[in-house]
Amino acid sequence: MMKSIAAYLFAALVAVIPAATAQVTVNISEGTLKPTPIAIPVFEAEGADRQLATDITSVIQNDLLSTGLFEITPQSAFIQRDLSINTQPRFADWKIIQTDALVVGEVDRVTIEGVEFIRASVRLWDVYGEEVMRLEGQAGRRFTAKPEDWRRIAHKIADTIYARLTGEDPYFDSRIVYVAETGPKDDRTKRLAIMDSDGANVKYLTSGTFTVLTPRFSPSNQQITYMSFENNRPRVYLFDIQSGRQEVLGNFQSMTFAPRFSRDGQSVLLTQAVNGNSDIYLRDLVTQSTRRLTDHPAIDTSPSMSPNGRQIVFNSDRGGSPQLYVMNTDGSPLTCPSGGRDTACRITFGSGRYSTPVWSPRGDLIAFTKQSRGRFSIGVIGTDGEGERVLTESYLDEGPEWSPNGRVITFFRERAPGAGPQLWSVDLTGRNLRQIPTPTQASDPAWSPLLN
Amino acid sequence: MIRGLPASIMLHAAVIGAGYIAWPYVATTVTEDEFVVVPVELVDVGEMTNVAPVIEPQEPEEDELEPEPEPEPEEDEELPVEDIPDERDIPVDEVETAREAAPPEEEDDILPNFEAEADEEEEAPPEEPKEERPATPNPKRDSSALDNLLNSAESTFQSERETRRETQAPRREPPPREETPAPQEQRAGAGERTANTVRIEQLLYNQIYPCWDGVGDQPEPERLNVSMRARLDAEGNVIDLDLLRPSRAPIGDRPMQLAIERAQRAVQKCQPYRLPRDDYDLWKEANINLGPAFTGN
Repeated sequence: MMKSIAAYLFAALVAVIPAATAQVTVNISEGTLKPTPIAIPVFEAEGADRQLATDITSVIQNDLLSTGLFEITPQSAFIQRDLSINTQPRFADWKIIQTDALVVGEVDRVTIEGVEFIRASVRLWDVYGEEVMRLEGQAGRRFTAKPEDWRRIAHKIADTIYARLTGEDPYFDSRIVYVAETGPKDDRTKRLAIMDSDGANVKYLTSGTFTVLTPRFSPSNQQITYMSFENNRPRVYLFDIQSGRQEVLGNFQSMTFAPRFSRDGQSVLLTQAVNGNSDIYLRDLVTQSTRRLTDHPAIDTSPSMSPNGRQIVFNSDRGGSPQLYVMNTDGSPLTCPSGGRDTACRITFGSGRYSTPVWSPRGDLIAFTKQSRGRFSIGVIGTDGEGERVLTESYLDEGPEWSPNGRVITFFRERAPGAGPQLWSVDLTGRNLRQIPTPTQASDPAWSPLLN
Repeated sequence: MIRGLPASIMLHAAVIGAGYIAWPYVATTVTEDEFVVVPVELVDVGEMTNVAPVIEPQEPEEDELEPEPEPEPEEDEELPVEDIPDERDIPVDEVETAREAAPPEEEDDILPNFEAEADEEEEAPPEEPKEERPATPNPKRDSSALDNLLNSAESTFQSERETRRETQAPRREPPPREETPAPQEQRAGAGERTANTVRIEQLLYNQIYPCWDGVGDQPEPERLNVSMRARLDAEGNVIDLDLLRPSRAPIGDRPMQLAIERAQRAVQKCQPYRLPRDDYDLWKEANINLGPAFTGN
């Protein structure tokens, strides 16, 4: 009897309760990061500005495409074609072509006190969220510039979209300085050149009379430091882009090379070779004073400072083969990852020779060139020597430099013996390896900070 | 009498059960009402329309765009005269600056009221035939192995998207995963999870997974966990999507803001969900947790 009651009771509960409280739970811990589909219709414009609007749109598309993080929805797929920056798009029309984000913009001109400016306005829509995505707190952004700076307007807009959708800091509106190489191998002309981050607007800064190497941008102003063989005396120079003025850095008696600005742009790290022994020095650009940082019979070179200025990574063969070491900028001993205390800690122990270390602007990684088994690669490693990752490899990959946001690494590659160097870039993840087009062969690229 | 007892128990159980069924509806209705308010706030109508006053007569195009008499004001307000000297201070040639007009906040807020017109347009059903997308004219890329990998991933994604467009249902390959049920929170008295529940969770997982970008590219991804509750109609369309945890991104927390946006987009993008109609009661409401911490399924 009681069993029978219990059975009925159980049957009743089973029959009713699951239906009443049914709820499923889905847990997903790992996504599938794919390029974000984004539609960027040609910006609206009137009359003669239509071509300008087309060009600006094209630069924005190319910037975003170059990151490997976006997929541009082709114009032929668009259903809604009557877009306006002042009206809400028909989201259904964009959902059906599977576009996550929609960029709507317009280009016009304004004349203020007799001076004509071009002006580009942009709005970013979240298609599935059916709302405007605020850009730096605003429902839209507007940029104004002189007509000749239209590419910079495009880069600024691309930067705004990139930052909003990826969470990264922007970097398109920046420049790359590099060494342009022409002529036969035994009579090579190496000139300083500068271009926009997408390879446009190449300009030459030096005549090519003297060979130049390893240009590096100041992180805080429009200065470049590099090594030049001017007067057959290899020394480190400073070059002011705006004035075109060039000067020797410091009054070093011997050959100086491998210069690099500190993060605040107030000083330059460099190497001086005295009687065949290279050590690292810090030249203060304000006080004009010089401080020696390493004093070792081995070759110490290629210094790069951490973003907080407290530490330096450099390359030394004090352990036998070239490896990367970290030291305190003030020379005080530090605790090494291996446990002991020393004035410099070795952080690379892999097979191969490590060189040209560059501290990431984010502070957590160091990029390097590695030579192993007759091939060269670009890689990154944690500042404590952990987590080494090789990003590229070829016959010759060398000279990594970080984009201002620390997301992309540019370097130069020679695919095969005699092929000549070209500029390349690779995402920090190791994906999206691509060549940066230059009119001539090119080496030693270095990124400028983001322009204002 | 003896036979009446089980019947009475069943009747009581049925009444209690009806209560269980009805109560979530009542509760959801309230949620729905609250939810309706949200888009209005997010669209920021007031903020967008309260732009600076007009200085010059509006341009002809504004008449078309503006459903309200309020003209578009910021066009002319956008560049305050005081900004121009800054513009000219910028050194010429090498480092010419394309600086923003940097107007005050309201003036930069260039969105006029577009609500009325847009709503009308949206109510019209999208009648235009679905355009088939041609093969994407991808830019020329290097032929290195790494890039090929990326390209193949992109083209796979493209073809998958096209497939989905044809079928109107997600059919992407999910990664292999275990069939074991997840340790999930259950309501008291819900009883054992049935095989159907597990199967529905599996189906949902398979359909949401390809649409979620994840947070692996963000700093400290382990903290970027987003819990949502979706209410679905019988066709598998999302009626409501409630953000449970966090309820919103802390101001200035860009990674969390992105994580929330991506999570919501994933759920919205992959609908309608193809799930067994007979078990609609089981999946009319679903908890969806996206983030590195949610390793249960």
